[in-house]
Amino acid sequence: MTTPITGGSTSIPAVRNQVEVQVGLVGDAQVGKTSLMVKYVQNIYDKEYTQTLGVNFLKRKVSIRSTDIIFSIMDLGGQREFINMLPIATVGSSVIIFLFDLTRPETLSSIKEWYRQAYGLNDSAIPILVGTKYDLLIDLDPEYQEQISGTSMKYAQVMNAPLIFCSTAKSINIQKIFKIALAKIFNLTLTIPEINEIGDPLLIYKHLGSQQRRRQSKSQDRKNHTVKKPSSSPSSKPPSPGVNI
Amino acid sequence: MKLERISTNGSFKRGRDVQSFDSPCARPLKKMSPSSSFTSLKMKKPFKDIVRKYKGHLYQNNCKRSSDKAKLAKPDLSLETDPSFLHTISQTTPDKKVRSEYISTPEATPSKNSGIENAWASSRIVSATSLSIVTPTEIKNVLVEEFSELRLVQPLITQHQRSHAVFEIPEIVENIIKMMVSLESANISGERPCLRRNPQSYEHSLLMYKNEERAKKAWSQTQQLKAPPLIKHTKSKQGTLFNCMMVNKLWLNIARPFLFKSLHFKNVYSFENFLRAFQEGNQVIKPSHFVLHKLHQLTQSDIEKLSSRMECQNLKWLEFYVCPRIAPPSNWFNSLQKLEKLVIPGNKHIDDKFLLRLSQNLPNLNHLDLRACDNVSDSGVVCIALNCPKLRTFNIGRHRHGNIITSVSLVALGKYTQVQTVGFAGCDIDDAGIWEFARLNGKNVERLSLNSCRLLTDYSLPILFALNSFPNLAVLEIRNLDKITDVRNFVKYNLWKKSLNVPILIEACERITKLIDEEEKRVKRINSLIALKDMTAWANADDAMQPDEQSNDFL
Repeated sequence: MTTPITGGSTSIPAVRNQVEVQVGLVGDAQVGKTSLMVKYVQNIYDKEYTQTLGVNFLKRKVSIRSTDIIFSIMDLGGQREFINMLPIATVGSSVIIFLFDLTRPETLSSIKEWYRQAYGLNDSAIPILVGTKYDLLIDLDPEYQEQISGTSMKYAQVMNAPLIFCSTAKSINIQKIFKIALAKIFNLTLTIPEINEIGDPLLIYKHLGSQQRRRQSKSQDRKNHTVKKPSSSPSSKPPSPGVNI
Repeated sequence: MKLERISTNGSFKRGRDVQSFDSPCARPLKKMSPSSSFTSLKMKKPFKDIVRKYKGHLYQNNCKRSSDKAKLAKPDLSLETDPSFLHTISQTTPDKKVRSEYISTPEATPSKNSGIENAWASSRIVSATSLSIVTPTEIKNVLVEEFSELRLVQPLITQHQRSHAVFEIPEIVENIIKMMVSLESANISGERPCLRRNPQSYEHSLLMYKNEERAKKAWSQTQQLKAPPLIKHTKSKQGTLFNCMMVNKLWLNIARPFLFKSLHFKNVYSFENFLRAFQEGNQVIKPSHFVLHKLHQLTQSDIEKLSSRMECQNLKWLEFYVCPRIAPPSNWFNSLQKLEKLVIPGNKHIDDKFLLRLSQNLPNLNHLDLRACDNVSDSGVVCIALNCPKLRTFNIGRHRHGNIITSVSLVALGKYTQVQTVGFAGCDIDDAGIWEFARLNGKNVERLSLNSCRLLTDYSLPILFALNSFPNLAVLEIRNLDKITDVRNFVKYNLWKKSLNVPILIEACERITKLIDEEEKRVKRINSLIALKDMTAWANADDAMQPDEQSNDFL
């Protein structure tokens, strides 16, 4: 087989690979889903609270050398009445990010219900557990910090989901959420150091949420999930700044 | 006795009437058909049918007077005596066979019907009085009694039976028909456009469709095509235009001119019928479309007959699809100024001389199809290229005599025209010709068929693709090009086009398809590896180090 001169003079531009990742954001009202999305996509943080009606949708394209990564982010309103729109945020998503407010422990306990519902609609998506408003957490009682960190770690274990504490206001760990999401989808090897110290913005992902592990442990997970109640939800210590239902 | 007398005397039907009225109560039972043994109530339906049969028959014969009479036999159903009466009538109708044929004859249009009804009202009196002259008074009395119970059955015109008023406005009808004709004319061509070429084998089909189910379907369809086609001589159903002409006079008058504007024939019978009718009249027709499809038997003399009174100033589309024995007659040549589409594939008459004479009169030619016109050589094509600057579609693909079409034709087309669709299947064009053509006209080419061009090698197409010499190409046919081995650039080109959302269709033979398929898989594998590598690098990079994070990259 002769291969004639075809190489150098090519005027066909190299085709850019395109990777499209759909990410769903779920969690209770006012935990900061929309803030996280807007921060990530537009790098804007707005203190004002705007209730999400139904589902918000934004796209972000990240162009790296040979590839365009497009994050399509679906943000579901946290109010009960939008629960029937949950399929929009979950079905078709490869990653579902479960968000809770680090200053409001009840938002963590409702993750159970969110996870159950989302898992029922899409059991192949990778869950990521994200605690928001870390900047407010550090001002709280260290004992409470320890308690909420421990509980969320247990949740992460049960869900087999990477755990990340972030702050939209102070831009902590925002980019990392989506990098970990991408890495988990494609099984990329990440070298970002984990953050395990209680009190620090936790970043635990290495042994959580990997595809193969999920497949194996799925059945166990379910059992554990029903058995394991989150250790007595932290008492009403935190004078959470934004508590209103 | 009485019957005979009257029937010799007056009309047959009148006599029949009298005969039955003669003995209204004591009907001769043997005259009844078996079905008449029903009770009178049950009779109603068959009775009705008979009325319809009878009426339909007379109506078809356009027998005005007797159709009036037929109405007479349409009494109120409550009349008890009538079933048998009607049977006698139905039995006297002359030819049963004919009658049964007209059972389904539609009734007249409502408006007509009411007119007939009125006409009958007066004629009824006449017939009644005329009866009174020949019959005894007692019969007359009986008759009057009978008739007093009769009443006219008004034709039931319900709202939805009546056509909407818009269909009676000539301007609107004309627009409807014009619309319909323009829609239909898109399908006149005898040849169906094909979306994909037929696969050459099941494996090939699988490669083409990448889906077992579709591959199987496509392959079985191909095999069916190969089997000798069943010769069908069923009368092809009449076109919509024909049906429009059957609606009523208004529609007929409006639709008729359209009929002569676009002539297309798919079987010899209809063409011969047309020719016969045409020769009888002395009308001169100026069609804009003239399409003959696979009329093998047709000879040049048939066309000559037509050509004397057919003028071509308006002709835009002339198609003799596989009519090997006929060619456009020479007396048309001077008036083909408007011709845009000339389709004469599979024609033995067409040669270089013919094209030379023809081409000088075709300034507006846009589409020329000379597939399998084996007698055409380079010089004919060059004549066309020189004289038809508006040519956009040109096809000279062939199985035989490929050697007389060479790169000369291709380069001439490239130089003097801006052809978009080019078919040179089976011709002896070579690498140099393609290179020159690409240089001259590559940017206009949208469809390129080079099947079985045995001289083409890796030194033309693959490199031309790498150079993007055909930037607007949508379909490329490269079947049976034995010397093509390097498909890398086809794949690259196709992937690139796909990423721009303008994928091109490459129709290749099994060997080349396989090569392309393998190459595509290889390229995709490499690409995904690169993508993974890049993504890992991105994910591991320090957030602050990435300028694109906060830059203009969001959508």
